[in-house]
Amino acid sequence: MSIRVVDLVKQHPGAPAPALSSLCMDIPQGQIASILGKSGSGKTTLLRCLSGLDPFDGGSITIGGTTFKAGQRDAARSFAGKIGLVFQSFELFPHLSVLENCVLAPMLVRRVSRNRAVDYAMNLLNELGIADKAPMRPEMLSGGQKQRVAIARALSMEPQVLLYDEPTSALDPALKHEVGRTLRRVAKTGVTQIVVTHDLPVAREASDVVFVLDKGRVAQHGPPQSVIDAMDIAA
Amino acid sequence: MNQRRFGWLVLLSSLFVVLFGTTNGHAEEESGRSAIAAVRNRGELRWGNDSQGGAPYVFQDPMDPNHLIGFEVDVAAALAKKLGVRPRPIQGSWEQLLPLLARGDFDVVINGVEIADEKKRIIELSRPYFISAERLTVRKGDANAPRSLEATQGRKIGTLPGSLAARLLERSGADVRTYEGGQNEIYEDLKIGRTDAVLLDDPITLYYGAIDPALEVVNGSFGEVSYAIALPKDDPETKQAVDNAIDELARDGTLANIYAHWGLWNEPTARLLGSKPGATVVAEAHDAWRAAVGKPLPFWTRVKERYPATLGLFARGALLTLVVSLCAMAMAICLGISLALSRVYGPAPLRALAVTYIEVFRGTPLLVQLTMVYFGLPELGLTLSPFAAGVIALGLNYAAAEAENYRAGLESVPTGQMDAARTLGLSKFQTLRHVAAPQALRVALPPATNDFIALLKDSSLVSVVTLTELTKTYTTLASSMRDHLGLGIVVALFYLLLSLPFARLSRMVEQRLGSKAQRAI
Repeated sequence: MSIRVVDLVKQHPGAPAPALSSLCMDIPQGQIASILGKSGSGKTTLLRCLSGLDPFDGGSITIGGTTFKAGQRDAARSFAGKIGLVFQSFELFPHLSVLENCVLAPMLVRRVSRNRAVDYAMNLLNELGIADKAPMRPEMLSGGQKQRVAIARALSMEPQVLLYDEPTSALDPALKHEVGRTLRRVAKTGVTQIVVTHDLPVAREASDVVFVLDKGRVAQHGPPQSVIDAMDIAA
Repeated sequence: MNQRRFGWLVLLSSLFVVLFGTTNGHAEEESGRSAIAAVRNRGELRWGNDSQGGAPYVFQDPMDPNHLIGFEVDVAAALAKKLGVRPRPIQGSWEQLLPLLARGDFDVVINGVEIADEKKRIIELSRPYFISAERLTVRKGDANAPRSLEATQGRKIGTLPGSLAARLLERSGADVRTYEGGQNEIYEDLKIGRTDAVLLDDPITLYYGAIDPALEVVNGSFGEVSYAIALPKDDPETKQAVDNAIDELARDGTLANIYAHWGLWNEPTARLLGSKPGATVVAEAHDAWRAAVGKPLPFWTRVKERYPATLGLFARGALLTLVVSLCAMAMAICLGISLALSRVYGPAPLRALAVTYIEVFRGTPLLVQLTMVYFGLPELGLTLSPFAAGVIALGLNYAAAEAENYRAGLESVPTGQMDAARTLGLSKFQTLRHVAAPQALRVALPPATNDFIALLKDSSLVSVVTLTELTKTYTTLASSMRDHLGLGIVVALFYLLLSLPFARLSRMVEQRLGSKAQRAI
């Protein structure tokens, strides 16, 4: 589903300047968008607002025709399930196995039967090449494997949008190109993906469109090639 | 946390409700009526005593500790017979006997209660049934021993608190050491030199000081003290009935025979009763006591011949300790969880309330809390049974400790975990139940197990509200059998028997939580 963000404003209490001020962006369905920017430019805030973790103070977010406005109290709950988030530190549930991590939310939130939830989760794990890890505890896995479990867990809720917070930061350099391949595999299912990253090669390799944030606004956007090349030159 | 474990919590909390539901004490049903009417109605005289006080008053037979004997057991039996009812002894801590009577836990107290005016503020006293004098006991061959009341000035003298002996000693300027426990300890301390002499009533001296070859009873006696039966205040009907019964028992020679049987017959009591014991009555009971404890048996002989008879009493005490502890822990867990949740997730006022509760209950002694619950709440019209009061006081106290454990557990769960659960759409309750609680449990379980074992031991405090649990069983047995070391080992084994399975169980649960992934739902 497509995402439209219009004039998004987020003011942290006590902060001198808003973290996001009149931020706008459009991402068509099934595309992979990278969000770049220096630290403090508002990347993480945008991610938290999009995922429904934090409320926002102005503007609106439209996801596949449903619009959420500032001040809507149940925004987070309405987002939940529609938008998945892959955390930088994955935040897998350590007391549950890989498989149980992926069936918990479908069973509790979408009231799917255990059998169906397990079937769906095993399919996802298979897709992501980690079906053999299903009975293991997250602590037994490598960083790359954990990340794929986190993606599988998010996808288990069949979201229309998937957000990633710095997906390459916890990975060995050798594994980084794997991320791009995973992103494209997910994109084939029609899920719109937004990747917050500071990793330019990954952004260039994997995304359809790039947004550069600065002081809470979109400073630049366009195809990765042109935007990133311009940044490289500027740097 | 899975469904089964959640079910457990529900079960425990309903148990707690049941407990609360059955707390209306036996005292209530009889309020407003005279005690004697209630006694006749019940067909039973509930008489309070502390068998830890020891011989010859009320104590466990050293040859068979399952039997309560003593001259006051005989007095109580005679009194009950005169009133046409059965006697039922109820155990209480000696220093709490009068408050317990005032609270309605007994009908009377028969346990060497000395006549003194200040006692009449909370209870009534019958006419006296026995008169005793005070006697000094010293170490045999101690040239410096104080052998008169005057000579006790500045010396360390052991006695019982609140007694005539204590008052006499204070007047002489002695350094008075009072003992809350049994009389045995008072003489033990004298023997090993912690005190220079002991001043106590005739009967005690006769049964402890006089039979010990290392001790010597000084010739001559001091003062005169009368024992009376303690009765409920403002209850003339009861006083009348008990006084009449004592009169009759004095006239028909029953009391005289009892005292002679116990070797306690003396001149002042003869004057008081105006009767004499039968010519054939000899001090059999005193001889039996001498034979039983006068010469200590070797350890293995005691183990083989004396200890088996104590096991039933110990087992009963252990069962009470276990049941009180389990109920109190169930309450502490339920209340602790609510406190911890209020403290971690609640709005500001609830948080402040939880913090206040925790600080107050953690920062004040359990004994104070128990005393307030048991003796204080009746002033507000809430009279709890001893069991309920013990469980509630322990539960309220340990809830504070549990709350802190669970708080630490909940706070150990990273906020990222909560965020992850939220983005997956879990409700607050689902997040708590399926994500936070299972992780918190792993952190909270080891200290909670420690707390339970501490609770098992702290439950010994409920003996002040008439519950004879494991520790009280030990102290009374040790006093009547004059054996602290050997029985101490027995009681220690019983405590270990109670606590070790729980320590092991928690280690198993911990390992399970640590190694095996749980099922999500």
